[in-house]
Amino acid sequence: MVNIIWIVLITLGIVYGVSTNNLETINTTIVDSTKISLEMLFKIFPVLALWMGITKIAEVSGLLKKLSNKLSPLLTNFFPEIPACHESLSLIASNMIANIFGLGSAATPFGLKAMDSLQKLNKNKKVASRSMITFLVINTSGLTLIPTTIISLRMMYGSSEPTKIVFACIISTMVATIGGILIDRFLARRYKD
Amino acid sequence: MITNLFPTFIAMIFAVNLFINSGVLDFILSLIKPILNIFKIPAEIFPLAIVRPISGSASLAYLNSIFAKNGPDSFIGLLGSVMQGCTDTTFYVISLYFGSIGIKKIRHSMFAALFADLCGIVVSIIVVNMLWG
Repeated sequence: MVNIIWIVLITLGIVYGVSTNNLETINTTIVDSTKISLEMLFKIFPVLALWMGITKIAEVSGLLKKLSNKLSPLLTNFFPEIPACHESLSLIASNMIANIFGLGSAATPFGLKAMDSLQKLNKNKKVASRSMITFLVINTSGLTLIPTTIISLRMMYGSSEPTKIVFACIISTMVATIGGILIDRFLARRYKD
Repeated sequence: MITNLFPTFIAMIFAVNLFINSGVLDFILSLIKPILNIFKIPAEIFPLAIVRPISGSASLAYLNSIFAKNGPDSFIGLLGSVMQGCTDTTFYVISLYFGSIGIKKIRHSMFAALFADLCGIVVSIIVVNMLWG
């Protein structure tokens, strides 16, 4: 399914480029995208490695356990498939906390680890489990209370009130998350595996 | 883990860049423009709404250009800020998270995630209109 989307994007791009006589752009894109992806990988890899290490420390020191104990009663409502006190709950909780504070780059390693531990519970390793989908929807709806990147960008452009948008952001991100969870619940019930 | 991620990464960036650079996006926008005019949504904001779920860096670059052109405190600047802040890069997260553990069938996750994005975008237009319209 994900693969189909990329194929559609690529085919559309090539067909449109050829029909509008724009082969030059396609050629440069082919060469450039490998370069760009390698650069991006180099950019995120150190951050990823650092936060992977920090999550490990948080795990060993027991901080994650403590955090998850606080949050997991709440989370089990959203993830009925996960057994209580499973490590994935604390990873999901950490991912959400990092997202809420706008630490996107810190949230990703927690998210990847959470996915990995959800995969251990998954019966069919090729098919996404219900908890994975719920987690993903909560994640992509961008549950952020403090959008740090945008505030700093607004500062850069000399906004008189860079944080003016925070309240509007919170409302729209909350509605997005609630909408996502509702449709996920509805669809999960319809297409039971 | 890097070896798991890198092929996904290249394919993703290649597809997104091809889609944007070849002019397909501009073509789609020219089709949608009349509909936007009916709802009085500024057409300049629409590329942001479409690009936002596909590419985080492209949408951030677009927000940059809106700020440079209209200023961060203009109506469209505020709307762009809220829109950028209300959702995450759906396609990126789905590819990265599912790609890293080798999931092939993602079931209804793409639909649900895009629905959440749509909710966020619609509500951000409403809220910004109510607060500063």
